[in-house]
Amino acid sequence: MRKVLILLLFPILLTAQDKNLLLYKETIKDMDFEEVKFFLKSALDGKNMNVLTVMDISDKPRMTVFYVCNLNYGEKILRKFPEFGAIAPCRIYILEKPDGSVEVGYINIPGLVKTFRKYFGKEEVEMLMKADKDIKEAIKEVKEGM
Amino acid sequence: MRTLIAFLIGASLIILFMFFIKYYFGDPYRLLFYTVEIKNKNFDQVVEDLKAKLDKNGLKVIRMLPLSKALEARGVKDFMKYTIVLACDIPQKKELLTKVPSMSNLIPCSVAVYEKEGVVKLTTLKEIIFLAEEKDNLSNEDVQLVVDTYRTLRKTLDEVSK
Repeated sequence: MRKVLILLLFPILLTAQDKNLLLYKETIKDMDFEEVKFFLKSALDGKNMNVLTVMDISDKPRMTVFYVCNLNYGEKILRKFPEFGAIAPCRIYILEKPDGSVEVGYINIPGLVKTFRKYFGKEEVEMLMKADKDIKEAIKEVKEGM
Repeated sequence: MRTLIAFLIGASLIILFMFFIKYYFGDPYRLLFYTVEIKNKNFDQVVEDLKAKLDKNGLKVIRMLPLSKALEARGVKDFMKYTIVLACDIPQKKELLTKVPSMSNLIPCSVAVYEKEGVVKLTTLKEIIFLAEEKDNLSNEDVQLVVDTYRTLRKTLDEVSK
């Protein structure tokens, strides 16, 4: 099955421009999983990136997914491209790694913008990039200990 | 004469193959989104029908996010009717997501329900690009699980559209 899939996807793999086409991730060291979870939620709230649902996936290793949305950004983006709701709310995962570090990841928004540029206007691109900036700043705040 | 016919058949097959590749893989929209249109039901009927059919087909609904109602409460009056259904709460999600966390973009799944120009539409993601990106980290069983889940999801959307 996997071999068939790889064969079918060969053209995509050839044309893939970025190594991580669909995922952006960062590693946070010297901080406990629960601390990262608490501070990241606070930092996202502070950026008006509202955490709609928190889904605890696993206890060992610890993994949680935040479902995040900014209604103002969402309104502008979905007016132009309603299909984008299939990617919403933005999922941000937090995963405890075997070495004790914590991985935080979410969909590669600049990669999506690049891929779907022709479907967006200037304002929607700005909204998407602003959402990406807000999430990255929230992660940076957690890394720097708020 | 035979050589000419063989050449023409070969050339036609190559052109058809190139067209297939361009059609399916050349447009990111077609590659990433699956959309169905529903003409014989109103928005609220579609949302209810979708929820019932997702549960019936084993793609358990986790939460409904009535986006247009939330915007209306904030004073936005002219936004289309819009709800996001968070579903596909499959029992194997713990093993899959802790192994390949980027699969959290697919599982649980989102179905966007919206009314555009008088037509209710349902859109969900297609799994193919996500699986391609993680091809080295997924086992055959993982791929099969995601493919089966999304096949059932598309079948469910098709059922709602009938």
